[in-house]
Amino acid sequence: MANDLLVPILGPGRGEGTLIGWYHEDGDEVRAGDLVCCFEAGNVAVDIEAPGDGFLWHEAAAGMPARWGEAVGVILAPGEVPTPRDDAAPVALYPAQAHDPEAASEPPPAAAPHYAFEAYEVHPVEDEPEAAAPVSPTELPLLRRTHTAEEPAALWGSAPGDQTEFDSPLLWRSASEAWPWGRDDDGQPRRRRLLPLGPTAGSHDDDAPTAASSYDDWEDDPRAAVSDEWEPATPTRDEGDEDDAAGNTTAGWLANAEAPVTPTEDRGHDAPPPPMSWEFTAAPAASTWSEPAPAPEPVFEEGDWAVVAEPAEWDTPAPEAWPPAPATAFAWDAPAADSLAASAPAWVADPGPAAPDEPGEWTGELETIDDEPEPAVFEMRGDVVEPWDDPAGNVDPAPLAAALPVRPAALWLRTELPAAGLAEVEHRLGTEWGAPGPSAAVLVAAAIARALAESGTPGADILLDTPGRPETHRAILRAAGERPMRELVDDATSRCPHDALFDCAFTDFGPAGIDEGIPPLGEGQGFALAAGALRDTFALVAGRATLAPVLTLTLSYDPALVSPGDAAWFLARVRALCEAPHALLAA
Amino acid sequence: MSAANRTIKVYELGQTRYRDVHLLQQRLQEQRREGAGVDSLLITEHVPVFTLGRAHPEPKLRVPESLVESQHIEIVQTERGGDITYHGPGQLVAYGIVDLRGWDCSVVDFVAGLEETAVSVLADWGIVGGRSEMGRGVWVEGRKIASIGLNVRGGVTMHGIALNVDPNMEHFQYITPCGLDDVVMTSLSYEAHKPVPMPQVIESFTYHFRRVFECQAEEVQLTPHRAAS
Repeated sequence: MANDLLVPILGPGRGEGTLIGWYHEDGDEVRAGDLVCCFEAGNVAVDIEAPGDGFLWHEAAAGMPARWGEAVGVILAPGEVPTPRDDAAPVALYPAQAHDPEAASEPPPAAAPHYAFEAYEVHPVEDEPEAAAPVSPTELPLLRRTHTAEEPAALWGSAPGDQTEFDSPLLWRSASEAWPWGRDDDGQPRRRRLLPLGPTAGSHDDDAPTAASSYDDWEDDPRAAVSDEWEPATPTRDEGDEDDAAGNTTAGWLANAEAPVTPTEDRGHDAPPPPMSWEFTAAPAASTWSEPAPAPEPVFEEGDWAVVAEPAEWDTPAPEAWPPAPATAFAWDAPAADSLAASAPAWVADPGPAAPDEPGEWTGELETIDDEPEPAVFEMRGDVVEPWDDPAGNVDPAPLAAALPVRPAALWLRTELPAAGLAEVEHRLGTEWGAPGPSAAVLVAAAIARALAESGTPGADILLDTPGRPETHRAILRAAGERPMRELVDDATSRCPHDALFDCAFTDFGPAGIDEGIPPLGEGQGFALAAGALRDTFALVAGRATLAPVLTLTLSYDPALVSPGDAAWFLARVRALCEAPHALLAA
Repeated sequence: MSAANRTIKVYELGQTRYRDVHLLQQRLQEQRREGAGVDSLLITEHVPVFTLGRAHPEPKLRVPESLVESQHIEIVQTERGGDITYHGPGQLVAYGIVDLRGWDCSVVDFVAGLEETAVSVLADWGIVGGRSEMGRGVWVEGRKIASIGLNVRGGVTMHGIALNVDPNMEHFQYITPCGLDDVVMTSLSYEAHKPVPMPQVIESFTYHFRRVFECQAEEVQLTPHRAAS
């Protein structure tokens, strides 16, 4: 029973890949589990194993596109012949036509089976053998010939007894590089009958092989008649070719050959073709690829890696030889090197903060800043903490740990940002708008609301929890898209029930702040954002050390509910909004 | 198969030669194809090497090959998908030898999971990474920070993902990474504007790998072997 070799799912959202190549040649006997071909899509190379024992029949060549569910070959049982396919996929099998507008204007081989035999006349052989007997691999090609009646088209020529080769430009392109079906005893590319090509006039020049000896058994080529570019050359064949009733000739095709063609015996059209014993008699069993040498010891036990991990092997090259001295003789890409250096992180090239204008005033403090390896005071930091790292011990991890297959863990990110603008706006809010309470916290909450709206979660509720003045400042902000700042402030100063459900807890502990701790997560809560107090801190602003109000934002989140990437984006966005509170107000 | 039955052994190999780990991967993959062994995650840093994908046997070098040789950078043909890439010290390389059928996981999901793992690692340093239409892997604002190349044979994966932590970025200039002419490579330390210790990245990667694939991991520390050498 024939086993089709089907294209697997090759990539996310990409149903199409590429057939990279075949491990075995056409007609080779393979066993179940042997690797037969390889597809690639989206940086993933997928090797396909033979689903059963039999003889491999290629239906597509290396380099062809492969779509999910299509068959690129079949494993035939002894004596079996390939049957035509009803589920034709002419686009996949005719890539040159699919991308060539001229070829596309040609009548497509519509409803063609995989072999596309309909492009040619059907001349079944009259005397069909009654039954297929088991044959050896060397007899397989002959068997195919004798079963032309079962194949719905003239695979073997335009007239009974004709021997016609069908090859696509893609196949010839393969022939010029690595002939996928191996070579015969004389070192010539082994020919095969596969994928008859429709009329693609003028598209052969680049693909014609240069080894004329590969056409030793060449006979009528149906494509030659439609080619206008190939000039007939000195006939090197018997005259029978030019007398072909169909007008086909190989003279033009042969003219492109560089080496002289060895004449073959004139058999005439009525004479039966000779058995093609040359095809598989010396088929090498080796793969067409140079696979890595097999492991010297095929038996593996757990812990074998230790053999590989011999210290002597790990230790090459010698540590003292690494890193090697950079080559100076060749200026490989000076502009690129310059641009690379220019784009290097500041902490690489920057020796440290610039000297202050008044060194006597800040000497003691600035030494501390200079000792910092890099100006990380404003940079976002993050770390992995153990599950439910809750210094206060307020959270019981047991319920979630029991509910989820993997024990959830609270991760946290922390960033410190210069909050001079925030302090200024806070001051203005208090003096100009008369907004009561910790307006900086309201601003941060507004930034959270804006970031949530931008992230596509407009329905999230934000609990603004300021325990210092609970009746006034415990509020809920609903992030419902772009809202005026004044409206947010009004919401923040309105009273609300304490037990409201919330998606995001914004906690401001007032003067104490959460500068070092991690906000605990409640059960089922995706994330919590804690803001520290506005503290005057020595910081580097524009490369100079100064005293500036700094705000610390700490985001803890449950990665089972919120992806780390989204959490990082959210905190970065909140920080950016907090750094530009004027823009937040203007929006 | 439920996710709870997924188990994997995590081997931290330290700094290795590519060919050694390549051979190790081939052995482990063959072992898994035969139904023996365990699923493995190999985490390592390589000495500098350029590796070629199966479909691209010709190295796309921007510099003469003599310069590559003078830098003692090997060029190794592999069976993975994708094009040429660079591995070197300061780059976390994670190879997953996983029987996807045993994990009830498709190739598509496995690739997406590796990308999600790298995105999560970046998030631990406050970096927002993501996917790009330019190709597989993980990108940060149009710059590529992690590359993916896999081979699947008999349902068992091989090769994996390479995350640039703080490698020698000049070596990427020697090649056309991933076959993309206009790709800009970046690193975790560059994006974080500070040095990032590799042990923390490995810890983060292992943690997120377990989280994303919902698997139980047994960590095996091999770096003492290397230190002893």
